[in-house]
Amino acid sequence: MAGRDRHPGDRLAALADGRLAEPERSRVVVHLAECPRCLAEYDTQLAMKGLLGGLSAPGTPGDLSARLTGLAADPHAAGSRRPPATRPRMRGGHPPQRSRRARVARAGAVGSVAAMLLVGVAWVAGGGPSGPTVVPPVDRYVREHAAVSVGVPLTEPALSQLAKGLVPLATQPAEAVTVR
Amino acid sequence: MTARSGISVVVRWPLVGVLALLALPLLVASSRAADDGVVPGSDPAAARLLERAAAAESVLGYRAVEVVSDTDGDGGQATAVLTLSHVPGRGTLVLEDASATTPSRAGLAQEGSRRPELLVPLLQRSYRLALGGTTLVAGRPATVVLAERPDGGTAARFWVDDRSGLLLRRQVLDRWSRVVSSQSLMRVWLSASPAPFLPPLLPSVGTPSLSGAAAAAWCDRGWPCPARLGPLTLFDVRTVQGSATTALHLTYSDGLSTVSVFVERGRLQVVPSMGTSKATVGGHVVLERGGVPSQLIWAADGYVLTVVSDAPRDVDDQVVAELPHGGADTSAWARLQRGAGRVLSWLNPFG
Repeated sequence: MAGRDRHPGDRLAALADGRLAEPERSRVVVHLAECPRCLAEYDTQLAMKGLLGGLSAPGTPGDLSARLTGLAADPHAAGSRRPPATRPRMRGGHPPQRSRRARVARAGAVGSVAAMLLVGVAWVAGGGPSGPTVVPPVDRYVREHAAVSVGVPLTEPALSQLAKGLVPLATQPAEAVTVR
Repeated sequence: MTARSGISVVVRWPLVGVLALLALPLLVASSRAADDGVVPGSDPAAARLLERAAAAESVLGYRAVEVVSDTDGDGGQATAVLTLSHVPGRGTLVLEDASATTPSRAGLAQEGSRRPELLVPLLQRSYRLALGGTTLVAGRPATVVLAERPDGGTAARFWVDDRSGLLLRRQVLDRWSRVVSSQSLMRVWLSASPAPFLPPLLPSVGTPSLSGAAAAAWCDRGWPCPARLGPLTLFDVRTVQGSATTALHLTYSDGLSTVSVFVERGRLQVVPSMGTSKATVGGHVVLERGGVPSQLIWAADGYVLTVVSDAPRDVDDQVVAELPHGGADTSAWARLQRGAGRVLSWLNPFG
């Protein structure tokens, strides 16, 4: 592919989102099989999406891992969508096959990035008191208090606290207020 | 600044809160639930008298003149003369006579808001009930019931009418045996004719109580909700509209006084219209609004707490001391723990 020796950049995010169409999708997948750095970045993006969305990683090609593994182990096994003649050749600095050591290094890098990401998210989220500014509606709270308190019989609210909610009488019924 | 004595008590409120809330439906549903955690030694006859009084308050038709007296936090005393007219099935009509400064006022407490089954279980969780002899109140023979603290001091006296079961007089005392609030019927007319009119309803709660499981879920998410505050027991949890978001309304009582704790997540902003001043209560600096009931406000751990209390001052001290105080832990580890908890709560679809 024309750009297979270039890193996919933004196309990694599109792949992670499942928005990358063929044949670009295959090109990026092939590149990931050859480039640990991009694969680590891709894994990190998937981890972020899974973490922040509380969902399984979106857009993950179901057979991606198998294909990548297959590409690494046997170029012909995963080449059903591509003629062998077009299989990308590795440039200098990229070994044709990932060694066990490289996979361990990649896993370590991915783990480190994910751990740093988690710590960073927790650090930002844990800063200072959160939530909106609160001006307690105390007068309303006093009314709520009286309304619930009256349920306990013989207590203060059932008697004197009631008086705090009384409303002025515009017309005073004579019989009701007669005190003998 | 008003200074009050403080009692520092460390409470692991999340765990205690959950345990209490598990017992909440039992407490509300049945007085037998009070068998767990009651102060031993109550006289069953005294408990029966108070149960009768709680029921009589709702089922009897009567009219009465009552003198109500309260002591505020600064030692001042407020006294009011009320005319009560209870209409069974409708509620209690309360009239306050005109004075030189205020016109007559009235209100109606709905019958459905009463929960007579709460009284004795709440009292017995904090006090020992005993008979205290007989006397005359408002010209009627009455039996005295004492609520005694576990240390032997008297917390309250009740005078129950021998004939009707109606509560004729009540006094609440602080730890120094001073009467801090009293209600006394000066004249009583039983089977009085219904009130000739019904005034506007007094405030009623707009939201239902939470179930024990729903309330426990709030506690699990870190909201402060201790089972006990001083001698008071949590008996009602509901949500109300707060300043900006939903607030949790926790109500505590010992059968003598009631304390509401409103908890809202956020940062406290003090505005002049709140009319507050700084006071030291329970060893902590809080904002206080004067008058009765007590109104105390402070912020702690990302929450704003507002306490509305009818309780004596020494109980307020215990209540404030046992609730959370101070800002969030500023250590790096605490910040990471707090952040992890918040991220998990964001991801939790049921959170």
